[in-house]
Amino acid sequence: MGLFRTNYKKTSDEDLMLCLGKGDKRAFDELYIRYADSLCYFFMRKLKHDREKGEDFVHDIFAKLIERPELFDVTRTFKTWVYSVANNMCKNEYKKMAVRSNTSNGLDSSYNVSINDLSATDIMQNEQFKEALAHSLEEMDSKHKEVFELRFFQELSIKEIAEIMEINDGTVKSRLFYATKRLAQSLEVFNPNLNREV
Amino acid sequence: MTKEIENIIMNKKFFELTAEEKNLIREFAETEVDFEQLKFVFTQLEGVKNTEKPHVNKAVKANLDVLFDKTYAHKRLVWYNKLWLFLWPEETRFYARPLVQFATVLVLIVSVVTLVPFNEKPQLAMNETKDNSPNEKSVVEPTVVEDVKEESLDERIEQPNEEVETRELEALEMKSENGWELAKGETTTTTVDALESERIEQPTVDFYSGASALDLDAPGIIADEVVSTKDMDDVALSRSVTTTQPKAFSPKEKPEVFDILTALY
Repeated sequence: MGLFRTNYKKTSDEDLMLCLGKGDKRAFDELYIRYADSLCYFFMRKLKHDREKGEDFVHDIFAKLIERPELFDVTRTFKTWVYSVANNMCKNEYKKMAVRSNTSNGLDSSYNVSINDLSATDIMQNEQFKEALAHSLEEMDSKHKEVFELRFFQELSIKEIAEIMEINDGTVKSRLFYATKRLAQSLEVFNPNLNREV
Repeated sequence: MTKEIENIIMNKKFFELTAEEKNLIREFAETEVDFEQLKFVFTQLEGVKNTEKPHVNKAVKANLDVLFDKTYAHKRLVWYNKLWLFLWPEETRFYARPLVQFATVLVLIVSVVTLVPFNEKPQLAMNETKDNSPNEKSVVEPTVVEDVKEESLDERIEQPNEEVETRELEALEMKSENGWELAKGETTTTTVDALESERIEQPTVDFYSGASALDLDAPGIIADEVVSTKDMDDVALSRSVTTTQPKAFSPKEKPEVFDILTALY
């Protein structure tokens, strides 16, 4: 099977992108598998947990890849490039939102109904923690917030974050340090071990 | 904060840390309280990430597939579509299409190659020209023939004597019993004079030089004529048994002879 056909699972993102530019459907499928969910999560977090909007943005970014694959900067890695594109899309959306000054309908899509093994108390605590985390991140400066989210939610390296944010590594580290310390302080009340000691 | 620091905080307890590890995380957590707090935050973030991470709706992928097919439909059929259009143009007549012409040429070539005998020898009857020049085969074969001839010659020299002796004895016995003789031309048993048998046993002196014939005066005579030609290397012996015509007699004269002859036949 693998004699004449390319094993796309082992192919790099950049090579997949080149194959996509030549009309290779399987390369596109592989890229979608690798990045669709992560990008959707990225958009959701950036766009106030709006899942539908996040999926629309995923559709838009992959549509751009299909229609204009030549936009891919071959000097950069695909991961940082696609996240920087996604980041710019979010910034544009912020601007549009500011212009429209539309208001939310009051429904928070982050409250997903999920079935798991956690008890009602645990679910409640998790939900409270999520709220507090979101609140803390909102209070945080956008620079620190972006770095933190890219690091902990998108699992990007410091170098990748630096490329996406177009800043140097040292700045990323300092922002990350500040955001982590700040969150640890603000979420301290949720730590049961520390509360017992107190 | 590197991945290494995160792993240390997530997977180890404060008292398990080595001096190097403590030095590494000092910037983030100097005390055990800070260390535990960071561990709690990271653990909770991991849980939040796992629960929140969405799976994109399949409709999104379906729409993108449609878009992909539309965008790359012309690209995907680039080479073989063009090739087919070249080989099978719809606007031209059937016989003028290149695919038909190529196929025709191919069939012709295959037919010519398979049907026309290029390297076969001519199958018509031809006169073979005999090569008279001496070669190894022609030299070897006569020697074998000579041996055979010599052997047969020796046998044939001795054979007539034995036959003559047996025939003489048989003839004498019949003569003594019946008192009559049989002609050689009609029966296998003949009467041979003793003198003549001696002549057969002892061939003439000029056996090898010329022809020797034995003339027997009895009506049933076996005349062995040994004709031999002796050259330097070649010896040929021809033996012919000539029988003289016996006197004609009617079966009415000797009916018992006729019966014997019929039975013997």
